[in-house]
Amino acid sequence: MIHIVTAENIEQYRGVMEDAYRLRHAVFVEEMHWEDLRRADGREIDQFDDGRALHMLYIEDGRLLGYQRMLPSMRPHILSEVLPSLCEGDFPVGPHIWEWTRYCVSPGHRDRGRMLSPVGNMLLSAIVEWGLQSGVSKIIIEMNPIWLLRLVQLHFRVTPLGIPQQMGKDSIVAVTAAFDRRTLARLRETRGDDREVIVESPSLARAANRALA
Amino acid sequence: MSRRALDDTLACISAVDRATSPDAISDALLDVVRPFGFTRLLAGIIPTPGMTMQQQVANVVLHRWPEQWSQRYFSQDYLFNDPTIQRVTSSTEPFLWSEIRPAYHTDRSARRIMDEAREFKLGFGFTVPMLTLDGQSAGLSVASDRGELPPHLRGGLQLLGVYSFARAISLSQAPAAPVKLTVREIDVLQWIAEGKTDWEISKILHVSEHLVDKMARQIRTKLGATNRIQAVAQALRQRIIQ
Repeated sequence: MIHIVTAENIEQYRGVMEDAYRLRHAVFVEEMHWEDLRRADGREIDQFDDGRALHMLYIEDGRLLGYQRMLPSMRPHILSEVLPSLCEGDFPVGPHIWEWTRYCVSPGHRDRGRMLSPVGNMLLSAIVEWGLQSGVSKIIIEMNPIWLLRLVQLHFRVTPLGIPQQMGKDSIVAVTAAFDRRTLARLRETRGDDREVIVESPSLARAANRALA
Repeated sequence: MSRRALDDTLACISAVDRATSPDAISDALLDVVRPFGFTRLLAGIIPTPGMTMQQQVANVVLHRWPEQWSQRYFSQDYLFNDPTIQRVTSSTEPFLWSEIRPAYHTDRSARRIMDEAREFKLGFGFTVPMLTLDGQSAGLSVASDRGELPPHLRGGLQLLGVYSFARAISLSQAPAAPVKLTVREIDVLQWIAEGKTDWEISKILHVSEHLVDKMARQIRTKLGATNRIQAVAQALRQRIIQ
């Protein structure tokens, strides 16, 4: 299930956060060859992993199987600092908009037969659950356009911020994806499970406010 | 330039989202690509090997291909040797058909399909591969006898392809108002789905060829389809025919 980790409770998650940085390195550097992120110690940590980042960890039987990070749009984030060319108009900014980054699932728990894996579904569900509870209704995503259709089918209202561009051998597009209760219902229906996925978090509203303070 | 391309794309996306029929979606998309020579459009979920012709046709969600070509294509079971289909199931990047020629030029059946398509004025095409929530491959192609695609339009067309397809499948999954066809009309449609010509159907049902044509038009109107392939796909999905 999903644990939300912020500056408030990160001490309790010291060990599993180490696993998270290593999973990020394994996926984004070793596997996807984002060489800019390579680090000698095998832990992928960047300038956005500060006190304002919100980490979502999928933990099962004490093992970290999935991870993603949310960054507030009111502070420097990847679209504004690293990939501004993907956004052709004004940056989407507001307390209700956060950026979704570093989504990764441990090998062996990924999409099978190219369907969205249960772990992937729960990570997405966590964003929507957290968003509905803390006043966040829209996420910024930089991704391969192949995932667009799935998001639309999951009842995210997806709006491109630019035209897809070629970066290295990958195609990438920036979008905003707005969500509401329908999105959550659709995710649960697709997963075949109505239960909430977030089991642990610092007070949600407080976490969101802190990040923006 | 780029900002303009985005604005045009966003305007077309909102037209597609407002569309309430496959035809309205096709029109919105073709309006954007016509200046570049594209007049034809096809979109669907890629059938899996072993599917019958009827099942293949039921997977079509947007159809603006020349009808005679579609009839030939599906009745000859070209789909599984079609190099554009093979590319859609193996790659996520949009492509011009001319770009995949090196990959199939030694494959005779693939070459024949592409050559025949050219005879139906589908010589120049651009295809957008997609992946549905259920993990199925899907594709949307625009084509014409000749044309060009300025590089800066590829990305915009990829986006439009995805939104058009997404809208089309959400319409096809929405419960449609039940359509009432007469027993005779169902007969005719069933034979059309089997790939029979009007002349053949007229012989089978002992009626005039003119009457078959007239009934085929009525069926299209009732099903809200602009062409026979779309009518057959619609009827299969609504289980009016098998």
